[in-house]
Amino acid sequence: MIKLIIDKLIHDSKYDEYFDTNKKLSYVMISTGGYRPYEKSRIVFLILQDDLPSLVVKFYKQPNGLIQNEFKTQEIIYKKCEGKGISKPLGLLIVNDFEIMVEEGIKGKNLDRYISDNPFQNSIELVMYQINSLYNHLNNLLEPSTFDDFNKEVNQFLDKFMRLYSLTDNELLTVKECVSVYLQNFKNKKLFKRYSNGDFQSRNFILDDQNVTLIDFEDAHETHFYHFDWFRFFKYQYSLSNDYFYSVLIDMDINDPLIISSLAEFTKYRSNKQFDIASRMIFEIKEYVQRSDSLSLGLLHDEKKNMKQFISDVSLRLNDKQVIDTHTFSLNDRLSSKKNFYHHLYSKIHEYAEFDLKTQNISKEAGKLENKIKKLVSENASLQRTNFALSTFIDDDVLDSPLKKTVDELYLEILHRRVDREGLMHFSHLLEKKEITIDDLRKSLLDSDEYQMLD
Amino acid sequence: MYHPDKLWDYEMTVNQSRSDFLFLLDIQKDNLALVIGADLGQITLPLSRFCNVIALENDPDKIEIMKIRAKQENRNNIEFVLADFHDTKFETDKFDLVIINNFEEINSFGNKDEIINQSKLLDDVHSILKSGGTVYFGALNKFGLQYLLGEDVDGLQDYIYLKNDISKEIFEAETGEKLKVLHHGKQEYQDMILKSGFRDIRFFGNIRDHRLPYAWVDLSTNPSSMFVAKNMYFFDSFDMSNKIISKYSEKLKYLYEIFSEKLPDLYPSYSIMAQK
Repeated sequence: MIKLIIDKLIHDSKYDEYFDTNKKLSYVMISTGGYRPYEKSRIVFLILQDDLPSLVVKFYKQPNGLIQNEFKTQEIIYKKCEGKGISKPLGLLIVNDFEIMVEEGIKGKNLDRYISDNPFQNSIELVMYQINSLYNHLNNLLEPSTFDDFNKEVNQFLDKFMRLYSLTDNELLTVKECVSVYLQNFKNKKLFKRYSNGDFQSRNFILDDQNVTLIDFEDAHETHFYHFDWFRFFKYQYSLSNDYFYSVLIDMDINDPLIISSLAEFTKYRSNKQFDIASRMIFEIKEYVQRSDSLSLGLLHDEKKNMKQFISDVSLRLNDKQVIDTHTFSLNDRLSSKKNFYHHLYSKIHEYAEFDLKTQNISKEAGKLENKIKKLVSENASLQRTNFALSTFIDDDVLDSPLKKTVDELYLEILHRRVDREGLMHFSHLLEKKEITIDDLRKSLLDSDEYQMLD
Repeated sequence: MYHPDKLWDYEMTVNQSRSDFLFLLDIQKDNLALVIGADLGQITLPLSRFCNVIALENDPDKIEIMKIRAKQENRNNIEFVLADFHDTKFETDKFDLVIINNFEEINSFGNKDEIINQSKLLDDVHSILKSGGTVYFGALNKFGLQYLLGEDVDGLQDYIYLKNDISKEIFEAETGEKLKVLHHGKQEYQDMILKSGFRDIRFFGNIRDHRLPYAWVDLSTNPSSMFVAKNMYFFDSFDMSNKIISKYSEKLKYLYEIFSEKLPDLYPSYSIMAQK
């Protein structure tokens, strides 16, 4: 497949500038959305010239017409942004019935990798200025809108959500309260809508020394909720702890308060202001609708479970009137977040050692449990023996011959109990008939399961 | 098939990325492909979207599960064969494509404790392939960096990289069980394939591993590995189960860049293809 795609690209003059015969050509194939149903998961090829990406081709594993829409939307955004900060869509191809989109390769690291390699205050500040600047640049796409349109969009994904997730009566009350608080906040305000790529998260940014570029427009759409991009950004960034991120961002000269309040939602500094809680709820509902469209049934089950927990938390937060003042953040908090971050990094690097330690602890625990079980089994056996002996308890009158007395004495000596009626009759009979000796009886008792269990 | 306590099994069965190597191959609609060791159909079912398939599996329960899955997905161009490869007589020059995933653990139907002779398997595959046909196999690399660091794989923690005879003896002495897998490094796989008469061998380094990969790095040139080592984030942040991610993942993130020039030899596994 890839061979055919590359052949087609090389022989299309439109892509001439992306192929240099003096450079080595190779590629990396990336699977995206393996957790989705087959027809909704995708393949991305990075075509490299030496060690730089020259072209990117992407397609759905089953043709569905969606890639054309993505291409058109990306083209609109690219043009409106005058080519700045957006990966350049180049064209569409059909190869073996697959609908394939081609875009320009972007030089640089993805943001997850960049932050992971540079988790320092200065680097994070620098990169966040760049991301914020790109976000503001995207705001050049803003178009005036009305409250009615805004309200309509809320209701659209709320309706979808209610069809996908069966709300209990209490959950419905919580959701309604959030929607009401949220809408109230936007009444009588100037409202706008614009395109969002719908997946504004760290892995979709490519950074080189000078530029930051947003890639992946699979979920791009026009929306009033473009500011939810920040929720998405912080919810799905895993390179740093958000507490550490917050400690770096809190003093930065970033004018948009939404960045800090979105970030705070995923930190220990989150506030219980009604609007913050309501915003998060609307974001999660929108997110749920978007994700449900592409998750497999198994993952959807997990998603429902998480949503249930989330709504329950929101309900508690709405009733907790305590509002945390985020401005009380101190230098000590920053130092402590930084220390925690590096401690966490150390733990991750040493995860193998901790894993081994955990395994050892589990083995120890298993050993302890095994001993407990053995003890319980032994106690149970002893109890059974006692019950049995009690059930066949003999009177001294029955021991009316020296041989019978000897049998009883051997039982007491070896099995630590009196002989039972059945054992007495059996062994005294054999001794009387001289079919066994006393030594044979001793040996027989020593070999018995009952004696073995006494240990 | 989903169970909240069995996320790993669920992921291994339904995650679509397991079969994505199919997009590295040139498969035509009128091709006939054979999957050896079809397991639960993870490769067979997606492959049937490309061409007709014969799925060979020596476990009758697995065959039944595959049939159910095929029915659910309306796949009706798959022939299921309950048999061991060595007991099955296919015509020579019959297939356009033969796929063996988990090459290291293909076992014999007659004796599941014995790993089959891999060289003989490749010889036999060569004979049933049409001229120009492709063999694909996914195989673990015994010199994968995480295994050199000490990660347990198939019970061979800390010694998988030794000579096979030595690691086998250690395993059997330590566990009292027969070793049911046989791993090699890139060069050994290459030698084995060439010896069976194949040509145009291509290696792709798997990120994560061939059991659940999410990226395949073309190893025909070194720069692709250099690019990956310097720029990509290696481990998906979205995962159903921690079992998927190596416990050395954080270390590897740094070490892959340090060893970027040697990286082609250090991937945890390879997707390998060759032509007859």
